[in-house]
Amino acid sequence: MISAPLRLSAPRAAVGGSFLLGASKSKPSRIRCAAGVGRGAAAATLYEVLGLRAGATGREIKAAYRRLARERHPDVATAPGAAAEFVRLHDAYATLSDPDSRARYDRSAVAAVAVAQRPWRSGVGVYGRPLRTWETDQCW
Amino acid sequence: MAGKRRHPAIGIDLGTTYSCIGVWQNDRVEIIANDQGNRTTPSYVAFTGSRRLIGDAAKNQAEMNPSNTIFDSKRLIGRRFSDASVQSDIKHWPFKVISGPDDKPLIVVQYRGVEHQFAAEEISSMVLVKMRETAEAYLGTTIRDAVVTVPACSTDLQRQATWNAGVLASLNVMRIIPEPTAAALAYGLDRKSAQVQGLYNVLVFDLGGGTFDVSVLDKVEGVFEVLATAGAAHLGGEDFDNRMVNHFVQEFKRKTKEDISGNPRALRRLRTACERAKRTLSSTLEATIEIDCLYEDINFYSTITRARFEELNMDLFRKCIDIVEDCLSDAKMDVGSVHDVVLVGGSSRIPKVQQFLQELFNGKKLFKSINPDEAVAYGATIQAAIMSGEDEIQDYLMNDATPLSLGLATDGGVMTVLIPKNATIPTRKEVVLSTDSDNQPCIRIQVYEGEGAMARDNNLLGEFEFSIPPAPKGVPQITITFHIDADCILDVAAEDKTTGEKMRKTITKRFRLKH
Repeated sequence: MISAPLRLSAPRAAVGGSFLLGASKSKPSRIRCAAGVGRGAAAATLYEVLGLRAGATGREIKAAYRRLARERHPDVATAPGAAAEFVRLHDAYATLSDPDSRARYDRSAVAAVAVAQRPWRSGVGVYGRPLRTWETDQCW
Repeated sequence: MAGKRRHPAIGIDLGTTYSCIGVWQNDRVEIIANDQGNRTTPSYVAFTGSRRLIGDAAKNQAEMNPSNTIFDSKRLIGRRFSDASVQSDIKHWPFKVISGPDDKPLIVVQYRGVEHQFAAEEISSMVLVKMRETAEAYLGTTIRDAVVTVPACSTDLQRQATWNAGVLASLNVMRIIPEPTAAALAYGLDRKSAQVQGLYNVLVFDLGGGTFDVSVLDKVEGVFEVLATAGAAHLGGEDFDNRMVNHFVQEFKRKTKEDISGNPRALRRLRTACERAKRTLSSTLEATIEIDCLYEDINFYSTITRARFEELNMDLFRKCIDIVEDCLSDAKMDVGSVHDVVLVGGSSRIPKVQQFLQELFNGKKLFKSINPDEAVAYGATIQAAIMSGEDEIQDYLMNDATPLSLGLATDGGVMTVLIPKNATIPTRKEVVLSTDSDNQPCIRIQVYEGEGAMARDNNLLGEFEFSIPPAPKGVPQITITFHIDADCILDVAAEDKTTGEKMRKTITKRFRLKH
């Protein structure tokens, strides 16, 4: 499956597709708005686990991971479940910090959204359309 | 960890040859001197007709009591009697080592006229007791919490045994950390005033008395992460001493026609003189050996030049540099990317070693602002402070990494790695297995540790069997999950998705010893 045609054929009106398509381009030509996601909901993408946008550079990814690690590592975080949270954080970082696995992830996320499939394996959470807010409205 | 503890936490560098202790006090690390005024304490325990000696006292009487003076217990800790390295070491030791239950090495000594047998961790615990008492005397309060260091290439068994030694010494071992990581932590803090923004790559060159460790770490936003480790369990100051001892044994034979290699007392005296000469050669070009009545009323006087010492050990020095290069390639880093090279361990003072390192790094200035003998304890103390919730230290965090690969024995005895070497912990990994024969009643989960491609070449950490209903081969889907927590405790779980059957086992055990 060739990913480029998939990207091109994605409906322009799809919020997720639009967001990810824009993010995947190295030089987006139009203004991108962050989709508002409810705080209680599971993060939609690995980028959001790190508090980043999909176009973040490798250095930004590393810095974000370390900054969050300093707060969530079991050595310093006292809450139960800190270890599981740190594992999740590190897994996101491990995927995004390696150029090959990041490229695979980006392609799969785009492909999944383009064909209206869930972008990650089942059991992790259900992807829903992001909540509409005034920020997202300006993207339509 | 919640809030500050009432008692201070300490960091202990439990070295093969020397140990060192530090405490976080007045917002900085204090290295504590022992009752002899020394900031490092020999890792020696001696047994005499009337009492037990630890540290300087034990080492000072080693010449007179060689068969009951124990050193290098760190080389036995967490190992089996039948290990090749243990068998090789036994030939060099004046004290007796025998095989105990489960192939566990036991050290035999005469104590108060009676034969005793001690496990290696019992000897190490005596050293730790000495360190703890030193700290308690300095602080005037009870010490419980400690971070203890191990070589970077330690196996799981070695870490467990080190932890057990801490328990025997009445310590609550909060964490066991690798020595090079502790040293990087020490320098990271030391460099705080010269705040390095962004990416900071550091190579730790830890050449101690017994072991050699290299680690490449980076620090971003105050978090250290191990990128790669390498090392040799038998490369250090003692090996350099051995070369000198062999050299002088040959010289003595040429001069007097007498062979002292079978005389433990003479060898001990010669070794002590060689160690002293080696230290002298780091700052002078020539050193003298003077031993009265070395053997049957024969005196031995000789000299050795720095050049000769270097010649005797050149292959060992080159081996160190080769290991550094291996570590850099493991970390996918070139020498130009390393911001600092940190020297740790007494043997890193050897001029030829430093020269080789500087040449490798194109003349870069080597970092040695912290006493190399104390850097590991310094860093262990910082880690103890972090875990104790000390406010002034919260800018730093150390992401530890697994020292060796962890995996399962699969089809044909192949080692299938689930968690590779240098993976950041805590971590969790899953793999789905199936059967290789029809109607197989169960699958055996065998957990191995090591880098060999075949499971039998690695350490078996533990195993259990998981029952499954009969099915054609290849049909069952068993999910195996490895979970390592921040303390390096490995939990292995098995689950059959079709039946919902589950089973789990903690592979790394930390138990309270009954004594």
